[in-house]
Parts: sequence; C-alpha cells; structure tokens
Amino acid sequence: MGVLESILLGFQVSLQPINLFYCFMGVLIGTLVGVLPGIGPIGAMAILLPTTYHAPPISSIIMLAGIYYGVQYGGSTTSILVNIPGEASSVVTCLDGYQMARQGRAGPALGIAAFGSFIAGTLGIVGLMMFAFPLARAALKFGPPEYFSLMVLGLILLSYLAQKSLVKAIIMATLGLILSYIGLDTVSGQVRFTLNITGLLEGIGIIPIVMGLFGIAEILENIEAVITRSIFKTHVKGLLPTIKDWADSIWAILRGTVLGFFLGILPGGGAVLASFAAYAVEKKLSKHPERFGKGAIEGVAGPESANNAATSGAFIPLMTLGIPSNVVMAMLFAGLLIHGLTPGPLLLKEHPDVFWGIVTSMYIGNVMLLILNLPLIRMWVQVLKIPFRFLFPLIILFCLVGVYSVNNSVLDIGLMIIFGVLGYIMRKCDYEPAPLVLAYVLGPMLEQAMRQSLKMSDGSFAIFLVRPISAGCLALCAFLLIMSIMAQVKRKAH
Amino acid sequence: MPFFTSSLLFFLSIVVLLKSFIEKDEGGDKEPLIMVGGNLQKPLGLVAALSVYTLLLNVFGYLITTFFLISLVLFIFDPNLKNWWKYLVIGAITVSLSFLIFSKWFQVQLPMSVFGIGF
Repeated sequence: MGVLESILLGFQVSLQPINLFYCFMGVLIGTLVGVLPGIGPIGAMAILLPTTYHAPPISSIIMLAGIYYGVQYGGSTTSILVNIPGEASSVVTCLDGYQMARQGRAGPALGIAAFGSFIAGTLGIVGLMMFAFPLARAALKFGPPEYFSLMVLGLILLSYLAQKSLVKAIIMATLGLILSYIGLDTVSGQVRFTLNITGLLEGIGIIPIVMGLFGIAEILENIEAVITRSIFKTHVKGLLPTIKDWADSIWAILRGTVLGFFLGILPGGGAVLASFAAYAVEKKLSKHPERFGKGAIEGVAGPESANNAATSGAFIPLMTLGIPSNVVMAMLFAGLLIHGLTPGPLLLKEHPDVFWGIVTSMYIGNVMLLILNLPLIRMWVQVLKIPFRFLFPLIILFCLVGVYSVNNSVLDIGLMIIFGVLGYIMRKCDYEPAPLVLAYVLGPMLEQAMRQSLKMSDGSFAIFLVRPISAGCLALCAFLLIMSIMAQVKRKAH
Repeated sequence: MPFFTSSLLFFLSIVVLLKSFIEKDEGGDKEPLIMVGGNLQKPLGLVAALSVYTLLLNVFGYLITTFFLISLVLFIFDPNLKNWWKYLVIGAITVSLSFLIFSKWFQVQLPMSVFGIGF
C-alpha cells in the first residue's frame, strides 16, 4: 500500500462520526486538563484509560492521543495569562508569554502559540508519515537481543534525562521491573511475589499504578497548600498575530518543529525536553537575546511548536518498534494492548487502519484544537475560575469508579491508594515516577526478549555484545552512565 | 531476571544510603532521606478517608459510602464548619449523578450493600 492510499484509508477511519466524536472529546478534555493546573496529561489519561475498555479500540486510542496533544495547547493559555504552567511542557512559555500579556499583548501571544502548535502538529504528522515506513521495515529485522538492548537503552536514556538524580531514576526503573514480575510467570507458570494474595495472580494492572502515582499522588501534593490563582486582568483581544509577529516567529516555529520532532523520537525525550531545548536554541540564535524573558514572541513560538512536534515524534518508536519512548506513550501502549493490538512493525502491516486512523485523527484533532482554542479562549479563561475544592473531589470520584470498573475489584482501589501514597512520598523524596511506569510496561517484553536471546545463545550473555545493533545500544548505555558519573564527580570537585 | 533486578535495586539503595550519610557528614543537607514539608494534615486525612472507604465499600455499598466520602473530602479541602450542610447536599447530588452516569449509562457494576440497600 502506498503512502497516499494509506493516508486515504486513515481519513476514511478517522472521519467516521464515532471517531470524530472521540477525537473531539480527547482534545476537549486535553485542553481542559492543560488549562487547569494540578492535573497533568498522564493523570488525565490514567483516569480515562478505564473508559476506553467499553469503546472501540481505534476510537479509544484516538481519544487518548487527543488528550496528549490537546494538553500542549491548553497548557499555553495558563502560562500566558496566569503565569502558572498548566503542565510541565509549558513552563518556558511563562517566561515570555506572561511578559507579553503584561504588555497588553496577550492576544498575539495566545494566537502565535495556537498557530505555532498547529503548524508544528501538522508538520510533525507529515514527519511521522515519512519515517514510519522505513523504520518499521528496519525493525522487522530486529531479533530478541536487539529488542532487549534497545529497551535497556530506552530506560537508561529516560533515567539519564531525569531532572533529579540518575541513581534515583534507575532505582525507580528497577522497582517498575520488579512490579512487572508480580503474578504468574508466563513461561514457567511459577507464582512470583504475590504474597499469597489470589487477586495478584494476574499481576498488578497498569491502571491502579498510574492512577495512584499520577492521579491520587498529584491530589495529595496539591491539597497540602492552597493554590491561589490571579488571572491577569486584561481583555484578550486581537488574537491574530501581525505581519511583524509572523516574520519574527516563523523561523522559530520551523526550528522548534524540527527540533521537537527529533527530540520526541528519542526514548526518554518528549514535550518537556523539546520545549526547553527550543527556548535555548532561539535565545542562542537571536540577534537580541536580551529581549528573551521580557516578552519576545520567538520565546513563545519556538517552545510551543516544539512541544507539539514532540508529541508526533514520540509516536514513531511506539508504532514502528513497539517501544514506548515516554510515560505518555506507555499509557497509549497499554491502551492498545487492552484491545488486543500489539504496537510494533507488524501493526503497520496487519492493522494499517489503526495506525493511519490514529495518525490522520491527529491532523483532524489539530484543526479542532485551533477552533477550540482561538475563538473560545475566553471560555477557557472562565474555566480557570473553577475552585479546586470542587474539582479535586470529582477527580477522586472518577479515579475510584474508574479503577473499580476495570475488574470490579476493591483490591484495585486499595492498590491505587497504596500507589498514591507511594507516589506522594516519591515526590517528596525527589524520586520521579516516570521511569517506574515505563519499566513496568516494558518489563514483560524485556524479560521475554532476554529469555529468548539466552535460549538462542545457549545461556551465553555474549549474544548481546556480538550483534552490532545490540552492542551499539549497550555501548551507548555505558557511555551515558559514565558521562553522568563523570559529571557528578566534576561537580563535587568544584 | 528478578534476581538481577533485585540485586541492582539493593546495590543502588546502598549507594543512596551512603550518599546521604556522606552529604550529612559534609555538613550540607542537600539530599535528606525523607523530605517532609508543607501541611501534612490534609493529605493524611484524605488517605485515611480513602482507606476506610475501601474497607467499607463492599459492606455498605456504593451510594452510602461514596456519599460520606465525598462530603468528608469536601470538608477536608475546605474545613469551613459554617457550611457543613452544604457539603452533605453536594455529596448527595454528586453521588446520585455519578450513580446515574456510571451505573445506568456506562453499565458499570457498582458494589451493592450487604443489607440490600445503597447499591
């Protein structure tokens, strides 16, 4: 099937009324979550994951993807108007966006953020279409040792890019792996780490883990202190940027798109890293770097484009290699598995409707977001006024019913609360939950790949070092670890 | 595989433990083992409420337990005793609406009370 036919097939799927409805719901919830500080994209996806059990597979993934890129749009609104980023990838937008708003230019700031996001989202999808086929073809040649080393690289990269401590991030990844072992071993049938609890024989589901670590933990952290929000009192007018604004920001948008897209592909990368990197690049390339932080429109256009392009890029490893590159993709991965669809090179071949349906729905979703975000900006500003004391009990209720509805099990609610408390303590002690979730999702595949590889080599670990791709990945892992240790030693010496 | 992972976890935990002792000896408290800050009463109250809810859910059913939970959570978030009756009203409305949406619309089987009421 050629690319054109594939795209047509994709639009045939994504333009079906039910898929349009789910896409709309996804981007709407995404924008809402992006606008509201306190609950991030992962929390929202975790809360809504159980609802996808009852929906058709493609529709549910379209909705989950919609939440992910919808959040990037919504996040910019709070950054610009309130100086509070709705989620992490909008942190840098605060720097210049809020300054623009203070200078009475909130409209153009919001406008360029939305247009930049739209352009980046669209170009990102074009990139996804271009890279998916060759990578999927290459991935078909991968054997278990290559997959094993690639997954290890993904985990190490995610830990390396962790904002806090590398050691703590790796601890989280190993904890995630151990959690994935709980239950019946699929090969030997042995019961592992169940503590004689029958309900754990099938293992811990991903939903109690992510809902606890991201949903409940986020609420526990937020109720500690009262969050006060003061909306910048200005009339948001003139959303269309001027020709000068366009001239100033078009290259920033294009640079942000390319940078964001490739950073999104990298395991462990994603929207947060992309937005920070784009801001740094724009500041470095600018003839007047002193304008940054004082309301430079490039400082809004670059990062906002980058974080949207990164969301498209992040789909590449998931769809072509079957390896989620970040925790949001791990949630989508879980969503696909729930419906019996295994992401990977064969997905493109066996279920082209799923792959292309999701890809083209992202394009439609971007158009919907442009309509939702520009004319309705005043409505989103009103949403900011919803008091947290009413919002959080509703989120808790959604979490409780959502987690219970999956298996009709009270044990799952208990597990969610345990992981909520664990997540809360982890945040307090600077342990990031993302490596844990990614390792938990990759765990079964990692173990299977390792066992298959060792069977191929009659138990010799040398198989991981004699195959070039596998050896390359492991060498890169070693390099990253050594680099990190060296940097720490240097810091200590200073 | 579980053996390798557990050994790695053991080794890294020792590293973190030693690191915290060394940093303490150096006089800095850059990385204390447990960082507690903020107002812990509300998070602890919420966890306690949720734990009791989990224990009682199968006994008293969804409607009764969730009504009390939501009212209590509203109180935890805003302990303004003057308006306590408002929390009960909001709790009752929220639970009824959620029951209609989840049980009737999404066909989720919510737990029933052992007494046959408040399913």
